[in-house]
Amino acid sequence: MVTTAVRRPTSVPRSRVRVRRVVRGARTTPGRWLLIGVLLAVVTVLVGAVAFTSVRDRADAADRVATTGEPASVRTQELYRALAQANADAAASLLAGGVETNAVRDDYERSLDTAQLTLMSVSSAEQTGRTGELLAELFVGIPRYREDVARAKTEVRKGSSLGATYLMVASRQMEQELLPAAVELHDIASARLRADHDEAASVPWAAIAVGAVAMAGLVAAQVALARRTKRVFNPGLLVATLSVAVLAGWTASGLGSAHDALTRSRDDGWEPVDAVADARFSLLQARAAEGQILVQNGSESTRYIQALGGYFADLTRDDETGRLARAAERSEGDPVTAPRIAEARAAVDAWTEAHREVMEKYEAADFAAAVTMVIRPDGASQAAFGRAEEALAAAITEDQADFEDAIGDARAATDGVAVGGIVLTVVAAAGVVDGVRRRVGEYR
Amino acid sequence: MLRILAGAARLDGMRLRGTIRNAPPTPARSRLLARIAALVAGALLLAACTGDPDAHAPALPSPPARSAVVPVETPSAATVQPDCGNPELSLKPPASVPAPSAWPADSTMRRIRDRGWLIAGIDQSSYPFGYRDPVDNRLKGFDIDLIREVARAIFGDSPSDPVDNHIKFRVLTNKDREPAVKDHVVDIVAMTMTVDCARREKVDFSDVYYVAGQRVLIQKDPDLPPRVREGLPGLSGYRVCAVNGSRSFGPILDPRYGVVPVAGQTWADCLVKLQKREVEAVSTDDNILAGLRALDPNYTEIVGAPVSREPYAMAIAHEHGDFVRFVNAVLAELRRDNTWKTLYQTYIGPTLDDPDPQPPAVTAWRDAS
Repeated sequence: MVTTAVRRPTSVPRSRVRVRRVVRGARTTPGRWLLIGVLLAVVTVLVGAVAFTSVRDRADAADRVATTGEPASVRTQELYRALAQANADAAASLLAGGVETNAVRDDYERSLDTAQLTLMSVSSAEQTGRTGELLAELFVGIPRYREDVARAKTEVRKGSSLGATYLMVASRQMEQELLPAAVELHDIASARLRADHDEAASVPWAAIAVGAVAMAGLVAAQVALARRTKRVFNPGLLVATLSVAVLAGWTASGLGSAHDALTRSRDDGWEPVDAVADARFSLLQARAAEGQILVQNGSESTRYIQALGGYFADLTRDDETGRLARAAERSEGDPVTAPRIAEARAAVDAWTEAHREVMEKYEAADFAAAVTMVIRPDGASQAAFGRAEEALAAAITEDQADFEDAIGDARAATDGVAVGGIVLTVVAAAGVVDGVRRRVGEYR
Repeated sequence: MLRILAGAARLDGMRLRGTIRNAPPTPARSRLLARIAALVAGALLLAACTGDPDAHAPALPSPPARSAVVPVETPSAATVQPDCGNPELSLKPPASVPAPSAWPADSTMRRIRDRGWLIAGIDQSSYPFGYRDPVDNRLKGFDIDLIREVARAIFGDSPSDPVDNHIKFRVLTNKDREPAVKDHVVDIVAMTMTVDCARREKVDFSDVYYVAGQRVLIQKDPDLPPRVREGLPGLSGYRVCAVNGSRSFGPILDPRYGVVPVAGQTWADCLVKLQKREVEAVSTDDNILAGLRALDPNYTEIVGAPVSREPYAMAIAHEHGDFVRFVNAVLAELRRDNTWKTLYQTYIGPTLDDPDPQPPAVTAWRDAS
C-alpha cells in the first residue's frame, strides 16, 4: 500500500476520503487481496452464523414437538375421548334403572374426572385467544352437564319419565357445545404440532446457499492464488476450506438424521394416533346414541336411531372417509398396530350385527332383553363395543411409544452440532485472515 | 476491516524482514486482536440471541354465553282453511245407542262385530289422554277409555270376555292420523284431534267430546308478579316455551302479548327449561299442560284463560256415516249418565283443578237440528 499523505481540501468529508482510499487501494493487487480476504471472512462467519441458527431453530422446533406439541395433542384427544365416554356412560347408567352397577357408575365418574384433569393440564399450557375461550366454555360447561345427569338419575329413581328428558338435555349440551369445543381445542393443538414438525424437518436452504457460496469463494481464491504465485497451497485458506467443508458435512448429516427421525415420529407416531383416535371417538358417540335410543324409548328415539346409523357408516365405510379404513391405512406397515385395527374392525362388524338384534327386541317391545344386550358385560352389544374400544386404545398406546422413540432420536441427532459449528467457524475465519495476510504481506 | 488486515499485513511484513525484535505487543496489535475477538463474539451473540418477550399474566376469562338455544322455527303458514260452515257439526245420532240386533246387515258396526275387533288409532305418550302406565304397561287415558266405551257398545263387556280383547290399538304419529282413517287402516282415531275444515275434507268427525284451550304453565315462583296468572296477556317480556312447529306458537308469536318465544324439542323439554329457569312459562293446550304438571305436581300450576279453542272429536272415514251416528249416540249416553264426568275426574281433574267440569254441549248437527 502506498503511504502518501493526501492533502485534503477542507470541504471533503472523511467518509468520502475513506471510500476513495479503498477504491484506489482496490486498484492495486494487495488492496484487491485485502478486499477478497474481507469478503471471504465475512462469508465464512455468515456460514457459521446461518448454520448455527438453522440447527438451533430446528432443534428448538423438535424440542417443541417433543415437549409441548405432541403432549398437547395427546391431552386434547384424551379430553374429547373422556367427554364422549362420559356421555355414553350416562346413558348406560340410566338404562340400568334406579340403581346402577358399580362398574357403570365408576366408569362415568372416572371419565368425567379424567376430562376435568386433562382440561386442567391443557389450560396450564396456554389460556389466551381462542384456546382460552374454548377452555372457559369447558370449565363452566362440564359442571352444568354433571348437574343435569344427576337430575336425570334422580328423576328415574322417582319413576318419572322426566329423567329421559334431562338426559336428552344433558346429551344435547354435550353434543352441541362441549364436544365441539374439545374437538376444536384438539384441532388447534394438532395444527401447532404439524407446524412445529414442518419447521423442524424443513430443508435449510439459506445455509446450503451460503455454504455453497463460501466454498465456491474459498476454492476460487485458492485456485487464483495457486495460479499467480509459486505456492500451490495457502495453508490458511486450506484450513478455512476444510473447516467449512466439515461444518457443512456435519450439519448436513445431523439435520439429515433428524429429518428422518422426525418423519418416523410422524408416520409411526402422531399421524396414526390421530386417525385411530378419530375412529375411537366415533365409536364412543355410537355407544352413546345406542344407549339413548333405549333411554328415550319413544318418539325421541328416532333422532338417535338416525345418528347411530351415521356413526356406524362413518366407522365402516371402505374409502378414505371411513375412520377405521383411514386408521388401517395409516397403520399399514406397523406389525403391532395393524392387527389391532383389524381386530377393531371385526368387533365393529359384530357390534352392528348385535345392534340389529337389539333393535328387533326393542321394536317387539322386549325392552328388558334389549337393555341387557346393551349394558350387561356379557351382552352381545356391550361385549363387541368393549373389544373394539380396547383394540383401538392399545393401538394408540403403541403408536405413542413409537413417537417417543423417534422424537428422542431426532433430538439426539443435532446434539453438539451447533457448538461444533461455532468452533469450526472461528477456525475457518482465522484461516481466512491468516491466509490473506500472508499473501498481502508479500507485497512489502 | 480493511485497516485491520492492512495493519496485520504491515506488521507481519516488517517481521518478515526481521526488523522487529521481540517487542511487547504494540497498542495497534492488541487493538487489532481486540477487534477480531469483538467481531466473532458479536456474531455469536447475535446468533445465540433468542429471547421471547415476557408474556403478561392473562386476564381472567369471561364466562361463555349461555347454553345452546334451540332456534325457534316459526310454524309454516297455517293451512288455508276451506269454508265448510261450522266444522264442529257432525251427523245426528239416534235417540239411544242401538243394540246389535237393530243394526242393518251391511252396517259398519255389523262388519266390525263380525270381524271380532275394533281397530283404533291412539297415542301412547300423550298424558293424560293416551299413555302407557309404566307400572302395569296398560294403555290408559281419556281418549283410550272413550275407545273402550265405543267397543263396549259394539261387543259388550264381561269378566269372561273383557272389551280389551276386542280392541287392536295402533300407535300413530300426529301426521299419520288422517291418512290412516281415510285409507281404512284404522276404524277410528281418538288422539286429541282438533276439528277443522281442512281435515273435514279428508275425514269425518264425531261430535266434539272435549274443548281444550291454550293456557299457560308456570312455576309457583315468588319472583313472578301476580299479573302472570292472567296467562299470555300478563307475560309480556317473559320467556315462553312451546314445541317447534306446533300450533301453540301461533298465539305465542302474537305481538299483542309481547312474550319472548323459546323453542323446545318436546313438551317435556319445555318443562325441563321451566325447571332450570331458562323460561318462565310453557304454553299449549291445557290437556298437554296437565300431562306436564303431573311430572312436577307440587310446584307448577296452570293459569290463564284459554286463548284459543281446540275442539276435540274422533275421526272416522266419510264412507262410514252410520258409524259416525253410532259413536255420537255413545257420546250422548256418556254425557247423560255422567260417565263423561267420571272420566274427566279420573284423568284430567287432578291436574286442571276444574271444580265443576261440564261436557261440551252438543245441540246441532249438519243434517238436522
